[in-house]
Amino acid sequence: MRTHLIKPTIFLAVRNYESTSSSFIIKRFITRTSTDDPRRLIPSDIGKMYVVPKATLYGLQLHKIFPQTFKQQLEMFEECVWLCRQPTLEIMNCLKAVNTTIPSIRMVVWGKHGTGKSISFYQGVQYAWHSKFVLLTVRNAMDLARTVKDIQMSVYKEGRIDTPYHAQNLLTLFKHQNQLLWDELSKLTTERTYVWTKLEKTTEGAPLTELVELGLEKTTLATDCLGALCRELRRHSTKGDIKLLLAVDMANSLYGITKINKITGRRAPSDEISVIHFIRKFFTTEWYNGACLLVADKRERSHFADKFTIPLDTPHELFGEKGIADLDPFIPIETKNYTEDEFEQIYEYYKEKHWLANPKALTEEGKIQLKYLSVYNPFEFERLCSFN
Amino acid sequence: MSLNIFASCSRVIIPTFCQRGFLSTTTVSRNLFDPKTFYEPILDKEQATAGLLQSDPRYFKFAKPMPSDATPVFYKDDVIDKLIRACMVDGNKEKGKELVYGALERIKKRQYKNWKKAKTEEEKAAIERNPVVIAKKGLVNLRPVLKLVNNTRGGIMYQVPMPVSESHAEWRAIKSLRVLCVKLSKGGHRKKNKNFVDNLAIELYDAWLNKGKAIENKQLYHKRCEANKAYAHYLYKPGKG
Repeated sequence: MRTHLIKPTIFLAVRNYESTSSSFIIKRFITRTSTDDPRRLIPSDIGKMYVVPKATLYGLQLHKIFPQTFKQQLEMFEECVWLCRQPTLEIMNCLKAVNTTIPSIRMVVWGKHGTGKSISFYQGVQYAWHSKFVLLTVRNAMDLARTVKDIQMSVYKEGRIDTPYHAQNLLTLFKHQNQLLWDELSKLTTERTYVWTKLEKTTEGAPLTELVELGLEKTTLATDCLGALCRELRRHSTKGDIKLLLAVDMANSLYGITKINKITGRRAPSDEISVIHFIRKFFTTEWYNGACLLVADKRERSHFADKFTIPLDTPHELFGEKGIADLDPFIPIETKNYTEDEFEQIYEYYKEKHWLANPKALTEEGKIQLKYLSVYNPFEFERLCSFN
Repeated sequence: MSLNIFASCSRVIIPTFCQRGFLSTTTVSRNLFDPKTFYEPILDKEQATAGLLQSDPRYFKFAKPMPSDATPVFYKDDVIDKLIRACMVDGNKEKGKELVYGALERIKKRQYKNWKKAKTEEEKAAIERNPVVIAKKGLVNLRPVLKLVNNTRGGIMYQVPMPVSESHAEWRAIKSLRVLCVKLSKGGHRKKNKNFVDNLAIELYDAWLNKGKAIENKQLYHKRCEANKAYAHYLYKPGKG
């Protein structure tokens, strides 16, 4: 009677991998890029790590707006070190091409879950900060549509809904991130008078910083101040006074569903929320010397109870018809899983920091198993290393 | 293999030698995979790739398929798997794994912070950073030495203390920990750290140091056993230990 052993397939795969791979050289050291300055990164720096100094972290308030797992890593290691990958250089090259002669460049970062969309987004924001762009970042557009703190009906336009909590958050972040350009911004002036109420108005020729301060003081005027600020920034960037970057994470939520109810009890569509309307105007109006950096995220479309439908990751699927009609033409930037070299870099980084506590994870076999279990996906690899 | 002639007629009274499974010498009467033809899968990687010798009776048998949860990954541990099964609800093993591995992550972060604060090399080497080691030692510390068993005599229910086997003590430690963490995460017991994950991490860490609420509960249980010491002879059987 001839019998056969049923071998687990993982070991067959390991054996095949061992025979065909050539990258079994043990790298003991992490390779750093040629410079830490993102303005001078070159294609040969792909796959290497660079440091973000603490001054930029606090200047950009990144220690408050990073995604949660990366924030926890910051706390543990007390430094921000990340990989220079291909999407980062693509974003940086697009931002280098910003010009007064061409209209605003729109970039959409897309990719599978856990491949580094948000991190590439923040790498682009860091580059723009160094290159003296004026930054208007929206940390989470899904938050704008779905969290309801306090709403009021708009006075300026009937039917629109104001959200002063979100508008004030945006204005505080704008103020923090543009501290180094605050003097320049105070020299730029408004185009016309804005009459807010019987008592308050900002006259023609007032500095832009006054709009920001007014919005932060008065909650009832915050959203309208934000709208006026957006219009003025666009006007000044077309003139050539400043370079403007609009950065929105989870941007496809601007064309998605909301959880804000109207008086009738029905859900308000995203057209009728004024903050979302002001951000959408960046896509519908023509303005120069600037860029829009957007991220297409699947969280808008996936429902926690629906385990059978799998939404696609492409911008066309996630933004929808109306979104693509507004955004077209745009530059898609894809993020992918780690390559062999990138994986080795992150592994060596965790080893150097003594983060891997399981002695089996430090062996060669443990490393091979980590590669197969995580499928070279950055998110899965980070989760596996968290408890090992 | 046993004959299946009388499967259809279940209510007929038949002599014992005609009953199903009479001739079979297998211990479990209703095993689909007869141990005479099927053997349990080999889970150790080196043994599986080495192969079987002809002197091994398994050489002439078929292998059962390996369960998908028993793959020999490098971080697999028996005790942690039991804890995952205990924390699982409605068969949702993914959620159970999330909870337990999340607790291990928090223990690891706590010890990593202590490791960073330590200044000398000796202090650093003394700090245990592996969360699995801490969790296992914590569960060992939570094992009770006695258990209370119900025994009715003359219409009255008595709680009689009895010695406990190792596997039962292990089960009691895991179950009491899970029950405590569920209770703490529900009813406003803690202002901070209200999750199940947070509570599990705190209790395992404290149990490793022999303090905390889970250890207190174990000691209260031991006091109750001590209080009922007088009834121990109700179930004491000399010769059977």
